[in-house]
Amino acid sequence: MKGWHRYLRFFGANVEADVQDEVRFHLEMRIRDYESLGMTRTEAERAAAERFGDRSSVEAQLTRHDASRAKSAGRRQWFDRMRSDARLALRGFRRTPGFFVTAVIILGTGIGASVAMFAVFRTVLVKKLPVRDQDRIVVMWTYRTPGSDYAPDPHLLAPFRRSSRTLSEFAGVAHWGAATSPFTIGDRTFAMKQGMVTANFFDVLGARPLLGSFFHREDEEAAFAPLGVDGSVPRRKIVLAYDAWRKRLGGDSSIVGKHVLDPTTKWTYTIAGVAPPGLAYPSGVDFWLPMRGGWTATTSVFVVGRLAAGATVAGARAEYVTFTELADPAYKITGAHAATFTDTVVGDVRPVLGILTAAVALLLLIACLNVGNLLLFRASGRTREFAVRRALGAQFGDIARQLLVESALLAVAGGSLGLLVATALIRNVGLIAPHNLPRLDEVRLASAPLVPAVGITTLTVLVFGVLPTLLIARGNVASPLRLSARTGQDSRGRRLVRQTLVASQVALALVMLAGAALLARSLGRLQGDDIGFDRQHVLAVSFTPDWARDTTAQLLTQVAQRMQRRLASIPGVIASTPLVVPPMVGTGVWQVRFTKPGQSNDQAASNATTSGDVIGPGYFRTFGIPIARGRTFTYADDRSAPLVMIVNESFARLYWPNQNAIGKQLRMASARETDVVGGNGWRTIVGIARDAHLRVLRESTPIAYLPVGQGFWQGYFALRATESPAALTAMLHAALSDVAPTTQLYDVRSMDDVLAPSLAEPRLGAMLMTSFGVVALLLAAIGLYGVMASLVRDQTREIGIRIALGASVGRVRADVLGRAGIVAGVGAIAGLGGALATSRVLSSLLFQVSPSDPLSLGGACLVLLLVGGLAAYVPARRATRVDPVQALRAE
Amino acid sequence: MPIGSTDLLQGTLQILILKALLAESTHGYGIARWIEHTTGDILRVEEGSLYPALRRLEDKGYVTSAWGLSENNRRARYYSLTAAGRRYLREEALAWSRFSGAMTRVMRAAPALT
Repeated sequence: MKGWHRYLRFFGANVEADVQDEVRFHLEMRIRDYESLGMTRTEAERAAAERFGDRSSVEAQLTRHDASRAKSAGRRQWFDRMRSDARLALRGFRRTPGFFVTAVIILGTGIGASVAMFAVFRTVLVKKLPVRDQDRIVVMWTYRTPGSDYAPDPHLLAPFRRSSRTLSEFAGVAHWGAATSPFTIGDRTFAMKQGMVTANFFDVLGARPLLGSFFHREDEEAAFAPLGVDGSVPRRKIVLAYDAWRKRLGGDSSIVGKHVLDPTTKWTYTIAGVAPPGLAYPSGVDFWLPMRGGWTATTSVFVVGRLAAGATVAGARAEYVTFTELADPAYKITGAHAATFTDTVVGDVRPVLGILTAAVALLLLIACLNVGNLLLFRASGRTREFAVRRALGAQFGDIARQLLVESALLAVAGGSLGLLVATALIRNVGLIAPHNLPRLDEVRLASAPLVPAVGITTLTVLVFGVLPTLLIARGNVASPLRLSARTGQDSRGRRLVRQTLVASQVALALVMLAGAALLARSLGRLQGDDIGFDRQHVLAVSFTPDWARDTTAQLLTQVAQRMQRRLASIPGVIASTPLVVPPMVGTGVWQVRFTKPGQSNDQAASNATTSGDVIGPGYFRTFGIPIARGRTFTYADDRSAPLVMIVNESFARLYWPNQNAIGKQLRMASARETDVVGGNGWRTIVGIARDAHLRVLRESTPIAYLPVGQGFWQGYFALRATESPAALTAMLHAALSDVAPTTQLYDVRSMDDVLAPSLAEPRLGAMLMTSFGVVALLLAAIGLYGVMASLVRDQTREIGIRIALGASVGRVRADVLGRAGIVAGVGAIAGLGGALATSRVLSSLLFQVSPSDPLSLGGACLVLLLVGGLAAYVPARRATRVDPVQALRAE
Repeated sequence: MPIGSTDLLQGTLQILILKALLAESTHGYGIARWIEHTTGDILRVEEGSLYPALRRLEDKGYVTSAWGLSENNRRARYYSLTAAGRRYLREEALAWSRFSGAMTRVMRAAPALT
């Protein structure tokens, strides 16, 4: 190679100076030659210039030319270099596919999970509802104690519509939210959730129908009248919710004008329109019905109002409370719930979503730490490679650039996988999400997460590309070359960094595991015996009574009693009972107010309303609820016998604190004989049942039970049976044709199905948290394994010497495990502290489990240390297999 | 009497340069000197025009350049012939000898110049 090749210039050349250099060289050489021919300096200069021609014009021409060439060459060079760096990186990845695949999977999982969660979060919590100015709509209801609504009727509220200063207009929504009832369309019958609203509901919201139209004022009247004055059937209308329209009715665009039939009342409704997607208030509603009687109705309603200009939510609440107190002092309300429409619609899922999102962020952090650790591990294995390259003339920038290209490739691959994972997760979110998560059908990948995905990917590139580079740069170029033949020694400082990273991963994994354990324990309690009744083998059966034939409460209860006797003869049915209130309908419906002896109507008006139910003799056996005192009902408790009732313990405590409730009397002052057998007669308490979480999953409410012979019935039964619902259906049909041929079987569901909606949210929380926890644990284990493996690799010689000097295999192994134990232990202690500090945010989601539950935290610790021990055991074993001769020879 | 560079055809200058580089890789002045010596200073090149011609040859890929040290230890830009340049030169040389042969025949044809 010729000497002058050393002077090859790469880029950054000064084009103009080069051109001048070249021309000056030429002229000086010519001058020198002329001088050697005997010219004077001046003569030589003049002659050379003349011979050269127009120097400045040539220089300008050359400079222009060279500058444009340098520019395009620079660009080409940059691409060439990138390509060669990328090729180099890909070759490196092919050489160590394990590293590449692991890093990409870790990144993909982290990014995918966080993007998907972000999409859900954004759609459910942040996205706009299809209403006008959603944060100016307020939803309010009054209560006596927070959590138990106690709201006035529309006829009381009607004057408030005119006088209100804080609300420009408002609508009423029946207090029971979305109640399930059967509906027949064509030849199909579904259970659909109905919400009842005043006709101006959609106007107040400022929503536009997707199809057809919403309600008009006259629809309220039509809904009220059983038949028109001339005997014609009035046009009763409903509006379908988007979800019900799409999923239950196949999105039929010609549905407007078609009819649905309520098989219980035999009333026909016309479908007036379809609401836009995202509008399903009250939560999960399938269709809306106009309030019967509109503003003269006597149904407790929640207020959905539009705030007047300048009014606040707090102001509206204060005015509403004041108005309700003045309108009817007997309500004795103590306050009101008030929140914007946005908060109301998405309110109850916010804690679980927030916590899951935090979990995803933690997972992403762990993934980042892990990939960072992997890259560090790789970097330390390449110290020598880089040292050699630098010694051969590679610039620091060249190495940094190559590392950046590698990280970028990883990030692009990880980000792409992440997007795939996110797409798959979002496509299947409906399968795992709770039923009551609003607007889930609208979650789309396109709805934003691309931006955070890009952000996360870029961040990953920077962190992982720069960190190892910095650490390499810190290292003395020459030192790795001086170290014998050993490759990839971790420096003490770098190892400390890596061990700290692993300890942090362990700590974060423990926080997630502890959260998962708490939610799982809580779910276990919700699913287990802690709810006060035994759900195993219990079926919920609903019949459609023949309302046309069995017109009175007495006739209906007779059907129920015949049915119960007949069901007792079916093999496989252990116990059965008629009932009025199916489990888990909430506390808004079938609330009864009783009067104690000696109380005036006014005094009784201040008694609490409680859940009421009408049940058969087999009720407590069917649900597995023990009777604490007194007796259960028998078939003898019928119309001709003295009126009796059973209350649960909470009820007894509420009405007669510290007294024996047995023998006490109560009555329903306004009950009529046609509605309830026994009417408003005094009913004596003959039994006290244990509390059970029958109305809502998370708590037991006071309940009063009437015997079916002294109450009423409208179609529900519960069965304890060893048979499956499918097997029982045929037998139930047979039983029906024996005792009530005109009554129809509508639905048979297992108690698990009944509880599923209530359990969906805790199930989702526990499930997602557990899977996050497992992934986090796995990642932490990978990290621990990596650190221990490199430790053993680095100390092969020391271990070899120790074994050669007679150290026992067990001693060597214990030593490696001990070091892993220190890393994992430090992480676990930090994680335990973190878990204790943060688990309090979970408390709103927990059921009968303390946020510092020692079993959950201890269990999480144990699992973590077990998995950590396993991860450390593999390298520890490898350490004991070190052949001293080979280890020393390898040096 | 030397022939001025203005009379020199563009293509001729390029061939001169390539031929000069066929002998050895050298700097612009080296090329000028080679032409001077070889032609006995008859084809006197306006030396400034060598450089734009060199750039054109470089753009066509017939010549490459790199900085190096001159015989008197000065920094100078060295040019060398590429394989493509060598091929091109061979073709052009063939065309030239045909052309000059034809011209010679023309000049020798009767009636002779006196």
